Amino acid sequence: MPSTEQDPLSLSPPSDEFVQLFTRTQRRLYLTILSQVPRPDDAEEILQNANVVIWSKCRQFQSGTNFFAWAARIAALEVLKFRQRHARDRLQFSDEFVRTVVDRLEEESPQFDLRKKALTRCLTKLRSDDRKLIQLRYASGSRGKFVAESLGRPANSVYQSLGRIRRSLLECIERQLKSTPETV
Amino acid sequence: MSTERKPPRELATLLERWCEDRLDAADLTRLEQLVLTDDDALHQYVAYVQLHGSLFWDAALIGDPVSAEPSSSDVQNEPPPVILTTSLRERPTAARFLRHPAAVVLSACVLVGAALGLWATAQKGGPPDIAGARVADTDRSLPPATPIESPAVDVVRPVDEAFPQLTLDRPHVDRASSTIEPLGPIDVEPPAVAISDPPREEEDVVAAIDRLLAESWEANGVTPSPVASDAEWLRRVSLDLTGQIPTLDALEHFENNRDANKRANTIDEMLSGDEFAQYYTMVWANQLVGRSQRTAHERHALQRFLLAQFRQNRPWNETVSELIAAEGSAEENGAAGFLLAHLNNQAVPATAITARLLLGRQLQCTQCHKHPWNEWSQEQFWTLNAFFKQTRIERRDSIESSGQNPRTERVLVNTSVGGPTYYEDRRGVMQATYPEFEDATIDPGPETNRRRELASLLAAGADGQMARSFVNRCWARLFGYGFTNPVDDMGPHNPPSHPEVLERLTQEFIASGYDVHQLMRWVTSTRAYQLSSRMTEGNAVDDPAAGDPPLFSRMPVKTLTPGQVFDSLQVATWGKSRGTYAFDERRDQTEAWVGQFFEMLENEENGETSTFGESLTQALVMMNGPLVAGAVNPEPGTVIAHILSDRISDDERVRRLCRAALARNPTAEELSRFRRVLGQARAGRSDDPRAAVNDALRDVYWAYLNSSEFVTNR
Repeated sequence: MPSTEQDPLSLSPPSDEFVQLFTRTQRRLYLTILSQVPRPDDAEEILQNANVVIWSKCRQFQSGTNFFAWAARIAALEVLKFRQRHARDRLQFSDEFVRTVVDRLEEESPQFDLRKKALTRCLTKLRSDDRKLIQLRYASGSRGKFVAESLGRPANSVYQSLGRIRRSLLECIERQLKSTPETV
Repeated sequence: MSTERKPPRELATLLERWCEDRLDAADLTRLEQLVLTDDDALHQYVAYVQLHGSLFWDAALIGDPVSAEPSSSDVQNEPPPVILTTSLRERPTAARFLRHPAAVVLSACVLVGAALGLWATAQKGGPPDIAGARVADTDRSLPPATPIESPAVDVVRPVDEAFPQLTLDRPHVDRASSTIEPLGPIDVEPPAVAISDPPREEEDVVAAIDRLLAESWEANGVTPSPVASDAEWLRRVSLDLTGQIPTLDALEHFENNRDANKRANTIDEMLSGDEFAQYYTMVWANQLVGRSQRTAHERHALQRFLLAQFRQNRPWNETVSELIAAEGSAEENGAAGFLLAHLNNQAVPATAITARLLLGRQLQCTQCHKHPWNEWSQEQFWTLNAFFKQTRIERRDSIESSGQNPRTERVLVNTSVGGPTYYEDRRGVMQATYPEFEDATIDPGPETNRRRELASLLAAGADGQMARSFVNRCWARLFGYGFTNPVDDMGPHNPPSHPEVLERLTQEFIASGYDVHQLMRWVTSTRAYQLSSRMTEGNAVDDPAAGDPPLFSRMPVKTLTPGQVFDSLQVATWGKSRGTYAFDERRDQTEAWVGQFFEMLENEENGETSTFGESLTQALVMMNGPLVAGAVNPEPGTVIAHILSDRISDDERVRRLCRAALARNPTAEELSRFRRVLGQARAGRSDDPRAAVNDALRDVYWAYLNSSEFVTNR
């Protein structure tokens, strides 16, 4: 649910710079939100809510300041609102956990791009069946259990396969990072 | 980064559970504990967030992972991913539609509408808003409201197996070549009743199912949803039986038709027309052989065979027998296309796919190990496999080969080899086995045509499993859920949700002589199939998307397959049924579109998994390209051109656009929003207000076609 019910017809178009910054920070914003919720699926909804607010406040953003920091503050508020709204029906991470994780994410964020490149290479190294399974899992915006249904495999076996593949991707990423000059 | 960072087992398990949304309260506490007390665990958590998030965001870098390399190393200003996959991601093609601010406004309007509508519908079962189709899963998949994007579409979980539709064709084929039977007659004994006998009383079957389902509703304390409106029902049955939305004309005609039997008549018309045969050919060809590009001509030949079978409504057991027993090349005998695709690797794929698709048995796993709760043993896999081991694929000069154009073709050849076949058991010991199916053994001598024997055993259907499997699949295709979940994993370990309904339909289907049309007629005539998809207070507990066995007290919402999306967009563009196209034309159009889409996904080998790799998401990416642009381009002859040029009010234009895309009238809220948009457009261009309004109307159509409602079948 968008947290504002502002009539979109009244929105004034944002500047090109704003659109560009907005687009470029979407992924990182998503990761930040993702780290704070026990249900990964909720991250999409929160991102959407945050985007509605970010967009509606485009006039408040001052060119030249740190867009991501500004957007992340809005996102943090949206995470909070989401948690309040779902205080009963969702598990929640503790405040301490969220703080710790967000700080660490920030700390490690300079590595994200390298890690993503490594991931791209590692995906090519997967056995083709494994790659297909991973693609099926993520391409459809799906979840393990739906993948299991569509493959006609028991859910647990699909969970196991996905876990094995994700762990091997992580190991591969770590290996790749070690072998790049920056980390030697 | 210097320390070895392999997550300890417990942490890895927790992180995996997080990825799959399976954390419970105890897991969560433990995860927090580990992450807060151990720096490595914290790093691992962040690494998982980054991995899972990146895979999700880039949708596992679909297609060509190499080209998905980011071009910038500046994390702060990361460029949009190159490979765009889901509606959540930046969409380069969207820009072209932003012709003027109205488009932005419309998009935003639809997006917010989507969120509100979705929520409202999910909560109260109120009227749908644009993009407000209640998703089968949860309300989780709303797109981020990024007004620069097109109104994104909610992704609903794939139904049944992710069957993509390949729309097909029947290029210059004469009847003779598709029904050729080089083998001579197969021993297909349609059991009990011959197909020419008068059909049994339909009311009996339908009434029995209605009664059984009503009993289960009562037992579970649910009240069924009300009957769907004519428009909702027509769109549903069109998509289910012909793979496309109804035309504006068909919708008007149906709504104005006062005949009390109009639903039954419509079903009959669809089944007897060519659309059903074409659509089911696509569905089955994809399941049988996927869409491997290497053997396109063999796949096309198989399609021609299936098309002939469905057109003549041949008994399903005959179709299966011909697939199993086929010999020769695909050109001679289209049915050969099935096994030509699967005889590699000791015929293991042929065995597994036959069992799964045609018998609803999952044998893949028993191939190498004992399945904990599947009654099929490893040996049973290999006894079925033994039927296929006599057959080889040979190459020879094609019958179409000529001096200038030499070609070879692959041919299924039975060899006169008898005796045991071998497999390696779990301890690595070679075991000998003989063909055996459902306790029936055959003479293992060299003179026996093993596949012919298997075809006969299957067609005779001693225990009805082939019919049961087909019934289950057809039901799942029409209702979104089969009686078992997964649909192709039947057996004592996975009891059906409605055993009596399944059994009654199975026995009737067999008694009808495996009459596919009749089965479709029965199922689409049930009360359950007439029901609205809207959740009511009385049936909120019937929520199969939450993992409970479905009660069919309302119509589950299905997601359109890529093929349905393509055909429906063509209908929305040109206003005529896809069945009216010449095959060549239709094939060229569809393969050009679906083909480029599947190149993205196609990796290498294996016909079996290539039938799975499809999802709606990719279709949407493509859909936001030239296809929808074409649908809103008022070329002569298009739906949009008619609507813009007819002498009607702008309100009526909006109404028709909505009906052409979604087969319903616009809601009051949509109408009032669009009125304002049209008013603003008119005011904004005093020199040519008509052109401005027409542009805005095109944006309205674009918004409707891009709504999540368009790609759902309610």
